[in-house]
Amino acid sequence: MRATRVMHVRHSIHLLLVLCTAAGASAVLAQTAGSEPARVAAHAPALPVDKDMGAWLKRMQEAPRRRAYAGTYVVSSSAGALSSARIWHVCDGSQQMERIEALTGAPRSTFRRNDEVLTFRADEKTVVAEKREAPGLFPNRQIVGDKVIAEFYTLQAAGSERVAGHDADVVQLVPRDALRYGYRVWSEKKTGLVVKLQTIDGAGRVLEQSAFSELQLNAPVKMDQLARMMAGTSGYRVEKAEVVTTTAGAEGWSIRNAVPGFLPTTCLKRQISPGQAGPGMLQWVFSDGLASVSLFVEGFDPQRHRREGISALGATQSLTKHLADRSEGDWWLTVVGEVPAQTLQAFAQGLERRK
Amino acid sequence: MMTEERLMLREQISALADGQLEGERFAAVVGKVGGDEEARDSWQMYHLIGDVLRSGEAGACMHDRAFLARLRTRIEAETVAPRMSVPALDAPERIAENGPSALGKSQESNDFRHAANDGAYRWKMLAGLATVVAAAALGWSGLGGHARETQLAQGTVSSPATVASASGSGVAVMLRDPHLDALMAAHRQFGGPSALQNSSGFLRNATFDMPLSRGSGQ
Repeated sequence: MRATRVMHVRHSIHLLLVLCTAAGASAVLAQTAGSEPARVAAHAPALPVDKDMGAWLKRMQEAPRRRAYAGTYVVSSSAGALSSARIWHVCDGSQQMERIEALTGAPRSTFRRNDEVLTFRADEKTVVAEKREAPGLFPNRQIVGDKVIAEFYTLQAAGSERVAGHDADVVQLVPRDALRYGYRVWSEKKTGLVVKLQTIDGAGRVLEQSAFSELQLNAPVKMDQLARMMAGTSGYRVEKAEVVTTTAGAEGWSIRNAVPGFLPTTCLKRQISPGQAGPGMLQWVFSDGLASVSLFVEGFDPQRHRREGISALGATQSLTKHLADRSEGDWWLTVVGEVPAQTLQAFAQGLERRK
Repeated sequence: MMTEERLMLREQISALADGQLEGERFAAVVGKVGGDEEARDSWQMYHLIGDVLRSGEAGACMHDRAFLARLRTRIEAETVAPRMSVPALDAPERIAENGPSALGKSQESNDFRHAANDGAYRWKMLAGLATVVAAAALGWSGLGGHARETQLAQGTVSSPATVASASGSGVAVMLRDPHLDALMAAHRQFGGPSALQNSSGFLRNATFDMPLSRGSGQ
């Protein structure tokens, strides 16, 4: 597959050259041809990074901890969706605060203070309150461990580039098997801050990309001002999703053939929509330290649960499956993750009822 | 007015620019590009668009007002009709029933769709985005993509949960499922595309557009 792709691009370059001649070469065309190899750089052998992967991840993890910055952040997927937001981030060493003002889609402001997240919806006059599972950075890295990450990804240096006016080192996390995607990460040279991130599939396609289009480091962001805005919930209805921590064993579920590299990180019973009636849905989360997969299990409802299959949105894949169960009634499984479809299938096949 | 034939030729040039044509079709289109002023213009235009999207360094084009004006005119004149009707938020059933047949209608462009699915990018499909991206001055390099998804998502740039199947099985399912939206949001709470950097992951998740109406799934 990979080889085919490389061949393919070479072929394209060849075509470009042929056409430059055919159509009359111009500087622009030559430039286009010249930029082609950059697209496949992900698969050209790169120099190994001397630095220990753990140290490199740690540096990126700690970057936002000491910085204040403001910027415009853009997320795009291969499906063509383009979202952007204005970001303010401030940190005083012990507390991190962030304000994210969406510039696309429904108007909303998200505030985060460490693990506490409030999303304001001005049009609906509601605030959704959530808790992040792990307040620290790289939550799954800490649970899964750098050793596991290094076992399933290799780290390669890929030169340096400018992003949003800042010089950044480019590194690639290349998966060692086909059960996960690769990443290309741009981290700002002085601070280590991630300024651009791409998720790349096995064929070298960019599935999703997020980046600062504009970034001001050491911006004058005031924490007390953000705190005041975050506290301004009067006139809003506050919705809190009920989340109860549990274990898969206690809920009667297990994984028969563990998917290599993915370890269970958390298991919850939760209401998916605030105010929703009935028992909570089970969410069992796995991670390989970089990518994560959620297994959602709920009682089967033939009215709502009709379509089994796999769908994709950028880097996010979803799988739905009907699980027949004679003793307790059927189940409906939804697996969501930023992993290839086959990984979701492996999870779906491995899930087992133990009660 | 643009003739059907002109449109066809542009499709072919777009495919050619992506290196998707081979053999006789390749030769035929090269012949046309070589001997037709307007076809050559199209060829250059696709490459300029590609260049802007890929490198973010096509400064020469970006400063060229005449180019931008031409690009805008061309984009306006060339809005690609969606291959498939965009599902309304409240009608997932309709889509479920119509999906396969609607897909069938897009078979006329099967050659190109198939080719584009192989990995190369059809810049034409993103032409509408080109000015946006250029204006944002965001450095793009090698955006890959499934043309089918691009086609499906054309009218729904701000609807992330418009889902198109990309599974290898070839089964194309299109659904706009508020329940799945909610589950994806719940999943995103735990780090999203990569826990590479929590802050970055968090920014990504908060930036991602939410469904316009959260309550519709209940």
